[in-house]
Amino acid sequence: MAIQINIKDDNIMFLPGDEIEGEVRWELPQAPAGFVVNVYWFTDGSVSNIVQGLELNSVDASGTLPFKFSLPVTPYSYSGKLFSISWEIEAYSVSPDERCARPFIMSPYNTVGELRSREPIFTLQSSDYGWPAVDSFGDFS
Amino acid sequence: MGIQSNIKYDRNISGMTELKSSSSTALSLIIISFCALLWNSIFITQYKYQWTIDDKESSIILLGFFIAVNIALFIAFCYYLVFYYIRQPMLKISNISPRLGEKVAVTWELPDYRSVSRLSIILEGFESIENLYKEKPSQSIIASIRLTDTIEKRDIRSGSAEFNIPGNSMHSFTAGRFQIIWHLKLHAEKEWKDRRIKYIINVQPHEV
Repeated sequence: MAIQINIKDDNIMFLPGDEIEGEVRWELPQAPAGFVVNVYWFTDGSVSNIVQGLELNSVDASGTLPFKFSLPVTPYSYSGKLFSISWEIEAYSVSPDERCARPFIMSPYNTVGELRSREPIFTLQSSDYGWPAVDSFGDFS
Repeated sequence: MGIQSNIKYDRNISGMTELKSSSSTALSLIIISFCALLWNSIFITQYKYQWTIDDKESSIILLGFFIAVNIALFIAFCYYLVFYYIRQPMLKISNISPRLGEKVAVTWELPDYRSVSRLSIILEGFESIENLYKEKPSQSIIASIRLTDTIEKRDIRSGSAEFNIPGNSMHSFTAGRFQIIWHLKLHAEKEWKDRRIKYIINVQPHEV
């Protein structure tokens, strides 16, 4: 293990404005010069838009860092025909350079495109996650 | 899953905001005027040069080309000038920044309704990417609701419709080249020239 991100309850679907909570574990060959944890969204091929982050200047070669970030209300995770909007939480070390990222979904909709409430919390396996594609919105014509 | 629109024709809805068209006739007039000025400046410089070197044949070809382009620019200018002075259709909306799933009312009034044979108004949400090497952006429709499609003069002259912004769709979004745009698209079919006007609306996310 170099860097590992664990999100509380293995949750990967969050509502806009939710809190994303968990911890980052790392085990590096030497103490890094810096350690960063960021929550960000990005569109295809564009730069990351960091919404919140943690930056540590001196950490040990191995350790654990709990995190708790409040997500904004927009933009929703989106998968369209031309582009998509994705959310990720990343952790990386500087010297040695190691990185780990966990994608998650921030959307008010469930997997079939229906609005969902704050309860119950969805806990899907990361292998089955997905958000409604444009096609699932149906034929509006 | 289809989206139902509840169309009404109530002509007395108060508290509405007038929408402004996303395309400007005045801007088109300014651009054409600028092009004409630039073209004439280039021509005068070139024509003087050709005349100086006594190349009469080239001068005549150049003069013909100059006149043709100027006629085209003049026609375009007159075309937009007529549009500038004709009263534009008036579209009003109950909420200019509605949330996803929210009920919205629109009213319309067409001053030149007599020359319009068919009117359709559509709410459309679409993805758009500005291409680096193409003039036009790539677009793909994500939602479309027909608010009205009528050939009745009474309904073309003025009317109203109520509809819900699709509650399972995407809010308005802009990040660099990537956009989710919502607009109301008015299409008035006329004998000599159809009128197509787009009114952008800013669709907000669901309330948290």
